[in-house]
Amino acid sequence: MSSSSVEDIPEQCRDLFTQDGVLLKACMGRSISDLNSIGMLCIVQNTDSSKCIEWRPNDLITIDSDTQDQEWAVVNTIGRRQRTLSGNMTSDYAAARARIIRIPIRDLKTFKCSRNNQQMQFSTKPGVWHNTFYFQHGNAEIFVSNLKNHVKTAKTRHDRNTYVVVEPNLESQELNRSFAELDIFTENTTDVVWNFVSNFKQRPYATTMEAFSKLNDIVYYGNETMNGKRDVSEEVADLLTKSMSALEDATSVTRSDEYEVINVKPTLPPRPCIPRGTPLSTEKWEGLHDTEGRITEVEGVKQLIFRGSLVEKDVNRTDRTHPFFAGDNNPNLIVLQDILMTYVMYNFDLGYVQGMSDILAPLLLLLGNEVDSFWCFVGFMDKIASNFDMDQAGMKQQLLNLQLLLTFASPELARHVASKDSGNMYFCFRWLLVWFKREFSHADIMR
Amino acid sequence: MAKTYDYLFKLLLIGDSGVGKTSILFRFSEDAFNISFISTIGIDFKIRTIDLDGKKVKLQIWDTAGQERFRTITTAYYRGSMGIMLVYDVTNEKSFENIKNWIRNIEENASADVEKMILGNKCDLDAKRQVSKEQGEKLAIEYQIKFVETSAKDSLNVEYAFYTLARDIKAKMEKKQEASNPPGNRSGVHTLNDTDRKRQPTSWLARCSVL
Repeated sequence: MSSSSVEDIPEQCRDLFTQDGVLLKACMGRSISDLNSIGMLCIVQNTDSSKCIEWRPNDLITIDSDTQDQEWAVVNTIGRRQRTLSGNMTSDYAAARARIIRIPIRDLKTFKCSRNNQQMQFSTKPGVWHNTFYFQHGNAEIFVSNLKNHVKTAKTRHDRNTYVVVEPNLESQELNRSFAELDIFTENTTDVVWNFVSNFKQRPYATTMEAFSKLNDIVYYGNETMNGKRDVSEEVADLLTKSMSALEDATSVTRSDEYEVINVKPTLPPRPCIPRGTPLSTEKWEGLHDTEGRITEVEGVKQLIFRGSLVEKDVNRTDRTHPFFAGDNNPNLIVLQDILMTYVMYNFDLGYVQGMSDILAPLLLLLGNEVDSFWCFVGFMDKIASNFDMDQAGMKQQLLNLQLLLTFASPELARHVASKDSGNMYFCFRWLLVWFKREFSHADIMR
Repeated sequence: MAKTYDYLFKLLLIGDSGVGKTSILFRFSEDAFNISFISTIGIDFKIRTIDLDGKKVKLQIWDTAGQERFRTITTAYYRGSMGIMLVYDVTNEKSFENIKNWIRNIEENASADVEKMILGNKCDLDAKRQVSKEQGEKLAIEYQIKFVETSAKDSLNVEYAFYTLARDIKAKMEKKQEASNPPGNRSGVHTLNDTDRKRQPTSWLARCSVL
């Protein structure tokens, strides 16, 4: 009987890691007599490849010799382990086995190190520390780093020594793994990940698209640099801690001994206001039909639907002093508007920006037809699209360059401009945005 | 004396695209109107010096582009402004609703004690009106901001608006000066000012006495 039991251990449970000289200091649901006994803390793989943390009392091995037990509390632990394998067991073995503590890794929720890393506690339920172990030899560092090979953890915000198991179930394990394999963060440093999060906060749209594009790259073109990387889930763990501390200002924490209640009130950047007219209501729409359901005033309805269009407003005030665009109901204005509306659809992300009508008007004047003017306008916009970008980055760069040029060309003027709070050169904005089109006469523009 | 003015006030015009900011400014600075005025790109400004209770007040009025895209440029001019005109178009309900957003913009970017005024422009276009005068007044009361309906085209209330805003800025400024410079410490000038006030300084005579 005892021999089969001895065979049990190496066959059923493969020790992945063992640490000797670990004292059981506290254990829920155990009699006091079990406490303060020395044993071995192991990471064990079961036959079904599930893993658990196991603490085995030394009595399992030294049950026949009380005197030896005293000694073994201090001597080299390797010897004991060898004894285990050599099968120095007695019939009391079964009783001793009952004292083994098993914590299935899939149930593990949190663990923490304390007392100079010499004490370790495990929890499978939030707020309850089931087991406390004391590392007599050295500390828990090696054990923790080994344990991290089997569970994905994140350090908690308030305590560097408390680890939360971040993948308690298989689903998220698989998700994490697939993310890790995708290796989205090519540079794979914490900074990159952190940038991702802070960018996400500031420019959610652009950042999301960026991430998707990276994902896309990987899916379609594969990823050439796959090895030698830090595990992504570790990045995410770091990230969580960082983003948590970023939220700290907006967070109120109610502390108690073992857990804390966190009320998070994140402050989001102000929502951009996107002005839009009120949509055409059903009542209004029905009021526009005659008794037979015909729309009585087609132009009026169009006005209602498309009213307030900035394109229309600007078309009506673009180069109207020029004969080509002068006068009421000038058909060229309709062409101008149609091209701009087509461009809005053609380059939907950019949309219409004031100044575009100024660029287009001379082109239409020169080419005289809608199609050519449109494509010519597209080509021109490709060159100067950065001027019209949402973030105005192109304009800012140019204004900066201009300021730099001025500093070289005329330091005195540059100083004067700066002294008048105009070092940003915003007064040159129009010059650059529409290529001095507003500053010169029509005749000069067309040359 | 090198200066041709006693005070320099920086004013700012904000509001949705096409409500008539440039037209209002053009009416005030050139006393003219053009139905097909060009859109403002970025920022622009005009200057007019007015007489205000015997003082020459130079108004440097900044005109802004209404489009959201240019907001980074235009908000840079909020901070230096002493007075801000919030303009909407009475024939465009949306531009009226957006006044709240513009006020928020002011709160975020301008100095806290900036003088404000709401203008409901294009009040000559009664047939196309979407915003009643009462709505405008209600909003103005809600925010405790002075309000007037204007027509740059018919030259209605434009002068009044700028003079009122300038006068409010001047009053606030002089009150501040008074506070930082108690009457007891001053000599001569103070008594002159006092008689000035009693005399209802509406005539050129009052100005003479100051000079």
